[in-house]
Amino acid sequence: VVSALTYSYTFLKLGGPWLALGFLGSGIAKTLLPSDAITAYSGIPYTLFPSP
Amino acid sequence: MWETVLQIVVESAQFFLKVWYWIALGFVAAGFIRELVPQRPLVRMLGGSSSGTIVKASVLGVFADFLPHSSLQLAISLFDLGASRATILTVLPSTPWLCIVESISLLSFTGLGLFLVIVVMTMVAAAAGGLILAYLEKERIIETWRPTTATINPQRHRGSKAAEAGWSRP
Repeated sequence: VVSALTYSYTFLKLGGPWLALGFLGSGIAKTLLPSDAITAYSGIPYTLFPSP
Repeated sequence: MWETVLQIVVESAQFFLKVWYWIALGFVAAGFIRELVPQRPLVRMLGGSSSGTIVKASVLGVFADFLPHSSLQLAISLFDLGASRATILTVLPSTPWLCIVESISLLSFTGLGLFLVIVVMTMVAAAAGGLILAYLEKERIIETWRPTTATINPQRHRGSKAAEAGWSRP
């Protein structure tokens, strides 16, 4: 278990910065893009997307 | 200006707080996959960059959306186990939607026929990306070095199969 968790931690160090960048991108999109335009473009209400 | 920046930070944090536990679960699962899955059969199955391997990877990717937000972690784990970069580039985009719940939402929006078309076309697009990357690596147009836990922490892996396989900076 300890070995598996050590791998998890190493993977977190590898992928964490990229995930953080993704979340930042989501925040930028949510802040700067008008939600009604996204709904009009995709045809799906913006609020139906539950996650970034 | 600063209000916008603050709002971006708050929105990002809100997104993160919604899904952090799934991401953490994904990293834990990736650690266990890395620890428990035998390396040799996986390298045999996903280690190459042939068209057959790429097709297998695109099928695997479709079934890899079992856990929300953990496709990336699964991909890191498979990559560290020895799957080729072209395979990983195929697995990641061929996950058709983020999780089973959202797949069901998509199914209800589009109907079964269109959903299957989307899945197949996603697999085709993912396989095309993987084949292009495999070609670029084969022709040495892009670098082939790969970071793994064996190269990040060589002492832990001294004498391991990963180290024997020569996964280190040339």
